[in-house]
Amino acid sequence: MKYTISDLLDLYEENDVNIKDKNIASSKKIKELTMEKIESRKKKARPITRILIIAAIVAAISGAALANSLGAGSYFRNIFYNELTEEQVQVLDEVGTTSMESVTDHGTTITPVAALADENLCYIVLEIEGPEGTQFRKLTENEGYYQLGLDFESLEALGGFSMGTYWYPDENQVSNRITAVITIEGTTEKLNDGGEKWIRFDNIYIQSPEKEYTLFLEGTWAFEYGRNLTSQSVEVPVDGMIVSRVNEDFDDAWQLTLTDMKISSLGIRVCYSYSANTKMVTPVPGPIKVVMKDGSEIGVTISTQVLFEEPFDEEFLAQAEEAYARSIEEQRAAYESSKTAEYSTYYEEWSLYFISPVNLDEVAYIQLGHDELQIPLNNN
Amino acid sequence: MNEKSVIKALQRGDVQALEVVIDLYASYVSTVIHNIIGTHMTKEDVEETASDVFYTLWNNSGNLIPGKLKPYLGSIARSKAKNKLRELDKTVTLEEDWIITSDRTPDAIIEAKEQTHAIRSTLEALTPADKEIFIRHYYYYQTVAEIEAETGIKASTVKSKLKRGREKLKYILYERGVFL
Repeated sequence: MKYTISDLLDLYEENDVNIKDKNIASSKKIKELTMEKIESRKKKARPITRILIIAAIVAAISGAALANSLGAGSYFRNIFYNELTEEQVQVLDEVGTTSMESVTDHGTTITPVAALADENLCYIVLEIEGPEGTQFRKLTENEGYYQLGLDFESLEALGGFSMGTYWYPDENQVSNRITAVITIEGTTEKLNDGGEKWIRFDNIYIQSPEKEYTLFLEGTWAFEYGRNLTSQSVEVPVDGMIVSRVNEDFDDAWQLTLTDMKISSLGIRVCYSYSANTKMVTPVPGPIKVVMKDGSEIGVTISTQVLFEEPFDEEFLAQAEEAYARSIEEQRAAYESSKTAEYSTYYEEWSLYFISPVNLDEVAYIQLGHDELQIPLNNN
Repeated sequence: MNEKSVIKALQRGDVQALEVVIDLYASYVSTVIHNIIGTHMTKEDVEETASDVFYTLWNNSGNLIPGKLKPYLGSIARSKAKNKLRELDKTVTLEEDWIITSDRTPDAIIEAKEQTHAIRSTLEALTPADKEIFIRHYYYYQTVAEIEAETGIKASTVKSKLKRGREKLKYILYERGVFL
């Protein structure tokens, strides 16, 4: 996955900086154009709806409904940080779906072979088969990577969202087939509510490191992925529970009141509130991990010891630590000066995802800091 | 009409409420779009893209949260403008807007979550003045010269503040196991 700093800010909720308006456009004209679009929508079906219907018809004509003997779990064996155990595959078989239809356009067929989701996160495995002669291969760092042209409107119903794509070309040969796994994160609509949800892609590109896009395959492919998704999820009774958290960098501490916690096969979401006289630092109720009945533990972050497998750059680390120490000194002063006389109550939501899927029936407890939280039985 | 009542009216399908929102935010949305793609687009194109933003707002009014109208519009404006930029096969050059690559982390969403948290932690850890400069440049795509003109902070200082933000982000990403 590749990001620029500006890409990382795509999900940032900016509400603090007042930029000077350039007054380069007419609000009257914008209003007219917007109203025309609304009127046009009233008169005819939305263009995207029409395209989706066409896509569905194409799929039906091609008889491409997927006859799939494998469960969803089998398709996700290799995408999690650890290779899945048979038990974990079975969990995903239960919560995922393979009942989706392929779409062919301009000779390229995209088949969503499996999907799974919890409330906030959805994984979809796509098998892409280009026309004969297409050569998918592992691209070099300088060439960039393949990129699906996402139609943003098809995901905007989710409120805020983010999408990542991970390509799995055949390492050993060039062919016209490739597997991609997309992840969709919604922020307001529950992804696993069983309602109809569409995603649409226009064209497949090669995106260079300089973010130049070269058309690789032309086409429009739209998929319904939400109807058959379910999820094993459990409400953890935490309402009113108070946890203390300390930040040593800023020499400060908070009392966090947990209001809601939900655990699914894929992750944990915690809602909480706290009182503070500055918003400069947001405390989180972690660290958090899931302890299974057999004593094994499922983490929620990537293990640093695995990620540091490349030669360790001592010089960079020293420079980074020095810069961080300098920065902390400055920030402490800023932190103190940002405090106001009055305290406000802040409400936060913290979502974390497991490094591999969890069978909730086998969870002994959730370790939240020093607290052990029990999961209620029969509460799916 | 406060934001809460505007959103309620939008959710009821009140077109006048949308006109109020356009009056309030047309300049803001157009400026965000223009900063990203203005050199490649005409005024008419900016207006067309801005109307797409408000049309999206209208279609998604059910998801709006009071107090978050401006962030929502800013986010959609950036998204639409970046999409246009991609369609036109153009790029915008920002100060060392480096690319993070971490193909060795197959668990996609952890990576995305980590990086989203990292940018948030970075911004929270910057001084208010440094944070503002960082946001102006990397969120609003203002040039160093534009930031200097609007804030009165010298270009060289703007650059050093951006550098400090990048260093902080680099360190936080490093701490979270993301290699650059």
